[in-house]
Amino acid sequence: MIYTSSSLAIIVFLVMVLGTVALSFYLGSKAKSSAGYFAAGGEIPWFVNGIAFAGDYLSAASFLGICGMIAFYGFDGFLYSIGYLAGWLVALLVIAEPLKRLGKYTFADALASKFQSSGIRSAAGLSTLVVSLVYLIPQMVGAGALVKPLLGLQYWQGVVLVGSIVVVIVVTAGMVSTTYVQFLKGGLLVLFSLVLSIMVLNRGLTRSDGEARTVPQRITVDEQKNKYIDGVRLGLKQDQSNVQPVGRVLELNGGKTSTGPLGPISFLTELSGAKIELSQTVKSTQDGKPVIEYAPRVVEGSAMMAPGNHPTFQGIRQQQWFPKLDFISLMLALFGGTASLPHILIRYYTVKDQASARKSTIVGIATIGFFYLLTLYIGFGAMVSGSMDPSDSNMAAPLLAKSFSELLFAAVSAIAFTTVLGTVSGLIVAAGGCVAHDFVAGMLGMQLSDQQLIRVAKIASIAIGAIAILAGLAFEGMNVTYLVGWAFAIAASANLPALLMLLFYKGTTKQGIITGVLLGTVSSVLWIALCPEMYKSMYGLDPKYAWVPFSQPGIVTIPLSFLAILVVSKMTAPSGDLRPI
Amino acid sequence: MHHPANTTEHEEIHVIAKRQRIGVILLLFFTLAYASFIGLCTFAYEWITQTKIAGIPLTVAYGVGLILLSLVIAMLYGLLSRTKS
Repeated sequence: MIYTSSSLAIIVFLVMVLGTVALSFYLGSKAKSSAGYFAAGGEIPWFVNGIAFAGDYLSAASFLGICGMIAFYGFDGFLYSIGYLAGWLVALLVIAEPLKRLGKYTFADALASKFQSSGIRSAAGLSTLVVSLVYLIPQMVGAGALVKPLLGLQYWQGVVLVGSIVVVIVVTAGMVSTTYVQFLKGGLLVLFSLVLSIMVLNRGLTRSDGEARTVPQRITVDEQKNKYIDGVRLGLKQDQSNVQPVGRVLELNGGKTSTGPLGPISFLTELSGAKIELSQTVKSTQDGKPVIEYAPRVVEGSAMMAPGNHPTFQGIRQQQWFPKLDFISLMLALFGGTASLPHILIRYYTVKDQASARKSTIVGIATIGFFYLLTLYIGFGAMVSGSMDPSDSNMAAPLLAKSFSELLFAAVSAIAFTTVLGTVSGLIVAAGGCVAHDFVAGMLGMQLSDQQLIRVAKIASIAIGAIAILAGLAFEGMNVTYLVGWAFAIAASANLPALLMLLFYKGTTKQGIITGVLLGTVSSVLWIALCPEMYKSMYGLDPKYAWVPFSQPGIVTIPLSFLAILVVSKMTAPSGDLRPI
Repeated sequence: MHHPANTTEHEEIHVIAKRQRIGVILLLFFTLAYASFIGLCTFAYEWITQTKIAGIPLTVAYGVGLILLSLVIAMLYGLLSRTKS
């Protein structure tokens, strides 16, 4: 679909981005010490930190990806909402307080606290860098996809723009500005999602005029790479044609034409009994040239409230074991990954004590949980709004907003963009801090002053920002939600077993932790590199030649890491008193 | 002989251990609810997709229920931790 860039959207976007950068410069002038740069001096109020958790965590994948997936495939998108939130209980109930008690700046601090081992620091630093980079990729891909309709820019321009702005934010101020940017962004995101959900409920469901479509919309490409829709040049000029939006109600329960305003429960029951027209993308080739068809697809509302519509989850409807294991593995990674993400873990050091760490996590869970409930209404609302772009599910939420008003579209798109900025800046702060503390000061043992440490972290942030830009360009077109699932799987395999074993198994040794972190990182990365999804989407090869039978590694690599820590700890156990931390 | 500092430290260790125990119990309870949901979706697909509660498919009701349960457990833990401190 070709979009017109709205001047209102551009103005709102510029105001938000310039406001964010100005806030960074202002707060940056106040954070001079190393503790201020890396951990905001431990002085962030717990409530602000709790909302900032939401800002850090609710990434482009959460907002654009989940809402889009629900809009196109129904309940499957909500499975991510459930998994992402469930992981927060692991963080609250077993990780938050010990991490605050044991660490100072990075996740490696907590792991290394018992043994004062540079080996643990190096291993944990490596896992932090790998997880941060893998998690940065979908954020950059999301940014590139978002600026196309919002500002009329090319994909690569969006990726470079986000990377550059974030590096400026991080280099100017560090954790203080990042926290307040996250606080504002998290608050605005939940507020506007609530507004959007209320408007969806107030609009209710209305039967669309006209019969169900029978003919697909057909996109073809000529030798000059010009695109045509049903034989007419694709574009916005008078003699050109655009892709028609999809997603409408064909029939309502009891033959009604409209339901009028609905409540949260009646919306779901009415939708469950409705018949909905959606679109299905079919890709093929004709005379060696690509052909894309957006074929009409009529579905029952109740079928969209069942899992298994999206290709990622179709396995649970099958009898074979591997697709079922793939699904279980993904849900396990989402459950274990949250409490292992570096940019989430370092936020525990920005508050003053364990009680504040606990309270801020509870505020974070309440905010994030409320948002995830809203994704159900935004996603289903978009599904029947008659405004969805069949070529891009990520645009479902912004286009739903556009179906209400241009101003709401501008605000939602700008917030979605700052969502990407917020998450990317959190990840780059975590990775930059890890290079300064875990590698330069920890592994190499260099004695650096506060200012030198900050300088190292800033240089590292610029380098990581550059790598993120390149990775974002390389992974163009890759499924954003899938990439996020992999980042969670690596985090859960590398970090969670080591943290839990350190806290709950008194016989854990430093060799055990190092082995677990390294094995968890390497095995999950290798599994992903050799999996069917990578063969299909990245290498362009037949997935049946993949070395591993399914694409989500967690169900194998998380237990493997636990086992490695247990076995190596038994083998290297010293004689003497061993107590759990 | 009574040492106030050691007593305080001992009490703190006791409180931390007790809070950790509460956290583990609550997490096990939630894990059971979460794992049951995944298990039903994977191995009892027909049943969970065709059962309805108050007109809403069980998949949606269970999913929303898990999110609400997370919020309740978080609040409960906050409350119990405050009392125990």
